[in-house]
Amino acid sequence: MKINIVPLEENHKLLNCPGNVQNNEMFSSILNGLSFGFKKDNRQIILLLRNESSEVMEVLPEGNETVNVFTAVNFLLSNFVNKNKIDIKTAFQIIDTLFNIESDVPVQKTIYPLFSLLGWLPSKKGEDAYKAFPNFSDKLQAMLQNKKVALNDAFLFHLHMTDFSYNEILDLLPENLSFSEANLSLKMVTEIAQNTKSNSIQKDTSLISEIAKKLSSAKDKADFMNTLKKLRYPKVSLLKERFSDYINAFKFPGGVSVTTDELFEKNTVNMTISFTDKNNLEKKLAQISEQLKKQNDSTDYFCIENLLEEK
Amino acid sequence: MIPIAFKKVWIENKIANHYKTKHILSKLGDIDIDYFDDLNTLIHNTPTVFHPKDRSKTLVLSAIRGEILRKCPGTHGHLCCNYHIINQYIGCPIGCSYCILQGYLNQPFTIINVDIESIFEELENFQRNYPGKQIRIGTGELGDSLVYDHLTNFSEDFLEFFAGRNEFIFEFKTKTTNIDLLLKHRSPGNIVVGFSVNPDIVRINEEEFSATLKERIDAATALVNAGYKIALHFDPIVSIANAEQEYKQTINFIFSQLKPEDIAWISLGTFRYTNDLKSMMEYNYPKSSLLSREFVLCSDNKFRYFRPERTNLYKMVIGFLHDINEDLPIYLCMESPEVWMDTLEILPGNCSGCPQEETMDLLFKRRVTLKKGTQN
Repeated sequence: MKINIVPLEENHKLLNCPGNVQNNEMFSSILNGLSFGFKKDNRQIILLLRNESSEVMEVLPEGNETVNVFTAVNFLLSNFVNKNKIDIKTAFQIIDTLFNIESDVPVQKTIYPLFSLLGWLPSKKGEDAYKAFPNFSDKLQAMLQNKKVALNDAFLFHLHMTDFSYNEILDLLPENLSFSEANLSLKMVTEIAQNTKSNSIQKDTSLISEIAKKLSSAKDKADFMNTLKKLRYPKVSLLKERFSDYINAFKFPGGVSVTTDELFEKNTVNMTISFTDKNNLEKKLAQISEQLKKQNDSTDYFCIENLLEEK
Repeated sequence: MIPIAFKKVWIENKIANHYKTKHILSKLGDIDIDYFDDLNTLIHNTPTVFHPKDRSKTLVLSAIRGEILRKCPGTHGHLCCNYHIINQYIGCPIGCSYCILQGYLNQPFTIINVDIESIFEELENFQRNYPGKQIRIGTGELGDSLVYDHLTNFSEDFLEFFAGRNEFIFEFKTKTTNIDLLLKHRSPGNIVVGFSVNPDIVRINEEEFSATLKERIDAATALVNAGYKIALHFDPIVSIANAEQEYKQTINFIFSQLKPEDIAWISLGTFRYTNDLKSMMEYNYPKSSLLSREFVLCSDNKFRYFRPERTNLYKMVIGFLHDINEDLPIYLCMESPEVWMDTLEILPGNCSGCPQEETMDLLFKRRVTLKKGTQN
């Protein structure tokens, strides 16, 4: 393929509006109005409309013309367009346009390279996401287009939850969730549903309603995320709470903190004592000792194994 | 039935006339063949694939590159069993949903390194450099050791090489029954055939093309009769409904066919995954429910079942194994010292946070030596 960059001429300007293109076949009107591509007299031409680029890129076909259409678009995207500025809707529009061009060449060579516009690798995964997108609920599509969630997470959420009317959950997501919190929420809801399904015969839509019911009482964003984490990680949450309650029951003096491995993978418990001098330390140690004696009857959760063995 | 139907073969030019290349091609019959000089360029120019099925459609025959004999990298903060690996096969068609290779491999095809003489040369160098040092080696790290054996006949080459080299213990790891070539020969004594085992319900849900448990144990029994030692790998142990009943039945079935003394070693490892594997599993095996359980991120950046669940699974399997025989040699794969102590109540070596490899090696050496004595 040869690519000539030629100065913009008057007659080229006319071509930026499909209505003015007579006897020419438009093959796309894409890229947020940044450019148009068309075929004219067996030549494939891409017109760049960016202010700073008043020129026409002409793609001279060699061999299969259809391939050159794809190559030309890819060339344009690679060299003249900031892909990050193409929103998801436009990206789908571009891919959609090109998917509808008949070609004998496998999509792996023509379309797949364009999946980078969706932030996906040039693979069947990108094709699957492209094909699944129209089936997303309107709510999910809107969230995606408004950059509230990532395509990958939206795709997986839809894939796993497609049997359910999942909008009930989406409606509950707090407006002020960050991008990563929203993605994490979709993941956790999907996994809760999968886990519940695999543990029971419950496969109907009441499963979603049950999750929604629990989430609906959340007071704010933090409460929502906390509730979701408890549903997703019930045992970890329970033991964390139990350990925290155990520590709080001791009235250790100020400047004393007790920590353990966050997920109880280690058996050691650490105590940090801040003190100002020897007397201060002695006083705090005495207070700690007194507190430990007071709790002598309770199960020793400083021994992590005891904590883990609790049902 | 494993679908081994390569549609295309790429051959590295420098091994185009290698006798193994010709041998493999003769087994593949009429197939589209092409040649390449540089593997990285070939990978770069080939569309990305994610699914093991897609990776298994194209075969690359190449020369082994990089370090040939490597110590298993192990994992930070967890005990390693000091295994050594040779990457002869890279890629596997069996299609296990939990397969870590999905997260490791980036090449869109299956690779068979045909120049087995390079491997033998490396092993001879090792013998010269470390006379008398005993190591365990396997080819089952990045692929199944036997799934393509009918194409390569590598098993026979290994048997011949390792005969009499008793400082090496060599293990074929498999989920297949592709043992015909092994059965043509008596074991030279230092060959172990390892079978991954799990309840059949796990195989049905998560291992698309692996042999059934019965088929694997039948194969193991045949191998025992030919003098081979058997390793059992309960890996991954999976938290499933009726786990107790399922694992008990599985273990009882295995030992209704095999005797404890037939076993060289038994490894246990609960299901674990990296972030990369998770995203691959979600896409490749959307029906798998393995990821929905309660996992925690461990110090090696792998997710494992929350410790109480993990230790319960280990204790359950160990208990059933001890019911069969308390002397079965069991070790944990990639587990923390805390979980070793919670479950097996021992640490290999005088561990102070990291394993003493020599002691771990001795554990296996004693077992194989004992077995040899028993056989003789």
